[in-house]
Parts: sequence; structure tokens; C-alpha cells
Amino acid sequence: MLDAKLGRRALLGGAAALAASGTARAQGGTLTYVGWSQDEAASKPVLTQAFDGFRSANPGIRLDVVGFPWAQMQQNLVLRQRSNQPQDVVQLAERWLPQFARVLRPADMREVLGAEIAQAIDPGLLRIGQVGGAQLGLPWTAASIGMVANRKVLADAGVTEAPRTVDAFADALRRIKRSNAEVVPYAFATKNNLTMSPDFQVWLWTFGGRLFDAEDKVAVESDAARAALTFLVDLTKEGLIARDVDRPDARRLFGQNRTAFYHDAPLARGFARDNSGQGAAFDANVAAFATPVLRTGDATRSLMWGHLLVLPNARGARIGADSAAAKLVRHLAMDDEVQLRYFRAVGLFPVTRSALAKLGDDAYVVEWARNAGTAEMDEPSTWPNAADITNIVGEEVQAALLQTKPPAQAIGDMANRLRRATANQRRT
Amino acid sequence: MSLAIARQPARQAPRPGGLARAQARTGLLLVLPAMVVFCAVILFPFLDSLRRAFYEDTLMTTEPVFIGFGNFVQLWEDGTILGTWIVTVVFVVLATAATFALGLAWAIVLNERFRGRTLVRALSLLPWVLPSTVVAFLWAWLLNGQYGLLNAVLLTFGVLDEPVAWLATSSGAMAGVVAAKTWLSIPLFSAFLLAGLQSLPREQVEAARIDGAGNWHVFRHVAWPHLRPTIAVLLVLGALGNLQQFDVIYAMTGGGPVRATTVMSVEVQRQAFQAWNLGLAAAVGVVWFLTIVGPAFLRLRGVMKEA
Repeated sequence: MLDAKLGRRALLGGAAALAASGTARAQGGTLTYVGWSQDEAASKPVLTQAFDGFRSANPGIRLDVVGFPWAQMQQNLVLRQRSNQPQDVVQLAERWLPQFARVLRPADMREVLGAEIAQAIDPGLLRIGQVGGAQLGLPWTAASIGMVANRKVLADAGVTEAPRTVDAFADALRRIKRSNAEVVPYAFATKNNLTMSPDFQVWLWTFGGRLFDAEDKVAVESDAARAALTFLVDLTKEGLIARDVDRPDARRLFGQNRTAFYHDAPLARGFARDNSGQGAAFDANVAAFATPVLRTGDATRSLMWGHLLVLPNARGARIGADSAAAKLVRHLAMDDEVQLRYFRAVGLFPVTRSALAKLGDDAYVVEWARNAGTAEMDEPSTWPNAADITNIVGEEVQAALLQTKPPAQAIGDMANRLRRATANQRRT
Repeated sequence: MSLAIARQPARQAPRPGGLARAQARTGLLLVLPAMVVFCAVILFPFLDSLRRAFYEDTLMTTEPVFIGFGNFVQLWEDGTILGTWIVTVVFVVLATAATFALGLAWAIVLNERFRGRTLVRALSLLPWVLPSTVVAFLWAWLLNGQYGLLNAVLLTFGVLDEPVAWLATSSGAMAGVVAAKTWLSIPLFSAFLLAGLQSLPREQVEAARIDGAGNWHVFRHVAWPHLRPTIAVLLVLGALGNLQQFDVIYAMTGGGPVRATTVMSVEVQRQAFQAWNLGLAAAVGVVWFLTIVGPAFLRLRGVMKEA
């Protein structure tokens, strides 16, 4: 009997120790970071240096860095969460946050780091890590999926001024096509739903439309949406947009001076350096370009983009500002030296005000940051079935671009499919 | 000597069926390790995914929730599963037929005597040796609208005025993935058929020739009947392989444009690892399984008959 009681007590004690171990791990001892960038060839050296720097500065903390390829990251995060494997600091793409907010139940960074976040990072950038008013992700790098223009292609076509309006943009594309038939004037994504959906949303917003309204109702069945899609279909019919183009194709075309415009993250300049074979010498051809507006005075549209750091906290334990996890987040996202080294290595923008200020003489960064000021959140990502919604938008846009159905029908079908897909879902 | 033999106690006659039972036990013991592995690696995951088709199991659900036929109802109401099934059947029929026709033609060529035949036979195996994703990327590059080799050749010879995005249309994308899969599978088909042709007795061909039969008649009335069992096995195996095809299609077109090449395997991947809906992915898997089970049954019946 005594043995049995002792056994139960021991078991209870063990269970309590296990329950507390998650917090204990993050506050001292071992800290587990899970991400993908540190395993990518371009960013591996600089991030290895960043993690080593953290280890040197915090000899009492054992940092385990766990990596998965970007494409397998979500799957592995879920599997680790379900199997109770440690993940104290996690790297997320901004569009994954609404879904992973439910799965990982991250700590509110404002509660962890307090006022220093607002002091260090612009509120506009902090938006990409917010869900339901809480700061669940801290931007590690933040910007937008914006547009880039190839100065050489524009100059060769005699386009001396960046087109500001939709009409001027279409005219510029026609001039480019006339000057060189082998150039794809605008490398809009015409395959891969993951790239077609964001590219289309930018034009949808430019024309004044939305996929969903503020009450979470499907709002895409509108004149604005039909006009936006018709505009893109007309460009395709004129040969100003090419079929069968994905983001990697657009990057190659851009680096070979075979396209004038395409949508990308700020990494576009790095890709152009690689694809041109000219390295930094090609930078002179790369310009950040504000998405044209419908009417002069409208805000330019782009899509929020960035990488976040989150602190999974399913047990709701208190994570203090002095915890190991908070120290790592501060080291990666709020240390100017680390941030600027990362920028210089791969071209990912820093997030702190002070680090950005040090890049004031880089016109590409300044222009991009200005354009990103009015960037908006990817609409599908706020739904739990974001992938379904992205596929629906991509498929209907593609159907119209490939002229298998008229734009108005594609928009109508998109609306009907989105209604069915969101009927039993609740937006984050 | 004879006495000694006479003194030996008479051996007890074996019980009827005892030997058979002992052999059965030994056989069972020999099969047991393979059965355990089969159950662990194939049967259990199969049954588990079958069970999962009746649960709501997504990224958002902490625990799977039993919903009966809910996933199947959703598939039906969504309306895409029928299209996916048709695309799968079209792909299987076209890829299997094209591979068979070209594989047979190539086997006949390789069966003839000519200089360098051994080298040609060896080179014929090249597509089989290459990883399927490499083949897919090769074909995607050949057919690329901007950089493709096919466009470059046709433009150079003036056949085209401007590049064609071959993979950007439904029919073009389907033709592209069928061509890639066919190219990949021809060595297997031609190897089987070549073996069949080589086992054809020469006397039969010579006798037909003496009777005045030309090439076509020899093929039609001598070779074809001889190859028929091989062809039956090959078509069933080919259809099964094409029903399970994933990597070539996914790497070449990702199932697009607009679902034009979204076969069952691509749909399962999409539901499981893009939409994170494991329940729905399992339900698609069940439909896929029911599609495969027909040809698989035919093949199994053939094997049992041969046994």
C-alpha cells in the first residue's frame, strides 16, 4: 500500500516535472529553434554566424537549431507540436501565422518584450505579426511582395518615366513589346496558384475590389474584380503577359533583360544579381516600382511579406523578457548588427528603425520601404482553409488568362466556390 | 543381417495429413516475418488511412473527429472529384496505350539483327535509369514557353512565328505529361516485349514464311498470339503504374493548368500537404484505391491462374 502511494506520488511528481519542462527548457538549459532559412545555401553562413554569436553571448544556454526545407516546414511544425517535441522559437512565413496561431498558440510578444518592441520597430511593420490584436509574431524581416522594374528594358523601349497609372502602365507595356518582340513586357504569374493568387490580389485591390468584406462575406463578385481580371486578360491577349510563367521564370527573364516588370519580394535584387551573371553590377538595372494606381492619388497596392519569429506557448506559461527564447528573438530581430549582416548577405530587409536608417542611401531599399507602407495582408491566409482559397483564386484567374472562360464567368465561379469553401469556416 | 533387420521395432506409420500439417507450419513460420513487415508497413497504414477518411482531421483539429461519410459528401458537393477521376482515367489510358504502342514498335526494331544492336539496346534503357523527377524537369524544359528547346527548334526552322506555351493549355499539358511518362516507361515495356519476341520459336516464323506470309501476317498470326499473355500482364502493370503516377506530373505541371492534369495522386498530395486536410486526403485516397482495385484484381487473378 505504502509502495503504491509512493509510486503514485512519484508519478505525479514526474508528471509535474514533465509539464514544467517546456518552460524550463526555454528559460535556461536547452533552447530549441526551428526554422528553414539557416539551411538555405545563401543564408546559411550568415545565420550560422548569428546563432554562434548568440551561443557565445549566452554560454549558459544550449541552443539546438532544427531545420526543415521551406516546403516541409508547416508539416513538420504540426508533427512536432502533436508529438510534444520542443520548439521554443519558430520561424514562420507571415501568411502562415493566422493558421499557426491556433496550432502553436504563441505568446504575445508585447507581453514578453514589453515596450521595447514599439520603440525598435515601426508599427507598420509590426502589423504583419498581428492576429486579432495580439502581437503573436515578431517581424524578423519585413517588406512586401511588390513590383520591380528593369531600367535597361525600359530605356531600350524609350520608356523614360515609370508609369504611375494603370493606363500609363498598359501603354508602357505596348511600347516595350513594339520595341522588342522577344521581351515579355510584364511577367505576371500565369501558373502556380501560390503566385497567381497574390499577384491577382494586388490588381484586385488596385481596382477597388476585395475577396472578402469586413463581415467575412465573399465580396469578389463585383465590377471592380471583373475590371481587374479583364485588364489582365486583355494584356494576355495582346501578348504583354506571357502564359506559363511562374516566379522562377520571371526572375530568370528579369536577369536576362527579357522582362520589364514582375512581382517579387525585395530578394528580387539578389535573384537578378545571380541570374544576370553580373552580380552587384546588375543593380543599376533593378528598380523598386510602385504598383500603378487606377487614379492619380490612389495608394499603391502590394502584399505584406516577411518572416516572423514566434514563441509557441500551448501551456500558457509566462515567458519573461529574460528568458532564453526572448533573448534569442531579441538577438535575431532587434540587434542592428545581426540584422544588417543578414541584409548584406541575402538582401532581406531589417526591421528595426535604427537598422533601416543606416540603409538610407540605398534607393532600392528606400523606395521599396515607401511602397510597402500601404501593403495589405494576403486575404486567403486569414482563413483556416487558406490553401483551398488560394487554389480557388489561382485556378479561376488562370482559367480566365488562358481564355477557357470569360473574366466575368471566372469571377462568378470564384465567388461561388469561395462561398462554399468558407461556409463553415471562421476567419482568424 | 536379415535377423537384425527383423528385430528392429516396426516404425509407426505416419498419421495421415501429419506431414502436410508440418509442412504448413514450416511454411507459415517462413512467411511470418514477411507477414509482420507487410502488416506493419502496408496493411496497418492502409487500414489507418481508410479509417481516417471518416474523420475530420485538419491542421486546426487537435484530435480527429468522427464525421461518418462527411468527407465523401464534401468531395461530391465540391464537384472536383469527378473531374479529377476523369483526368486520371484519361491519363492512364493515353499513357498506357502510347507506351504499349511505342514499346512494341521499339521491341520489334530491337529484335532485328543490325550493326550496333547491343549498343542501341543498352542506350534504350537510359530513360529507365534516370530518376523520374529528372525526366519531368527535362520535359518541362523542352516544352517551356520561354526557354524551351522545342520552341527554339521550331522557331529556327520557321515552323513557328512566335513561341508557344505548350504546357499552358489543358490538352498541351496533358499531352506533355503523357509524353514524359511514355518516354520514361518505354524501356520497361520494350524489354518485356523483346523477351516475348525472343522466345518465339523461329520454326513457326519460317513455316509461316514458307506458306507465303508477309511481315504483317507473321506479326498478326504468329507473333501477336505468342505475345498475348505478355501483353495482358504488361497492360495491367502499366495501367497500375500510371494510376499511381505522381512525381512526373507534379514536377512538370503541378496538376495544372486549372486542374487539367490533377490526377488522384496529385489531389491527395494537395489535400494532405497544402490544405492540411488529412481526412479529405484519405477520402480521395479511398476513391483512388477503388479505381486501382479493378486492374489490380485482374492482375492478381492472372497471377493466381498462372500459379
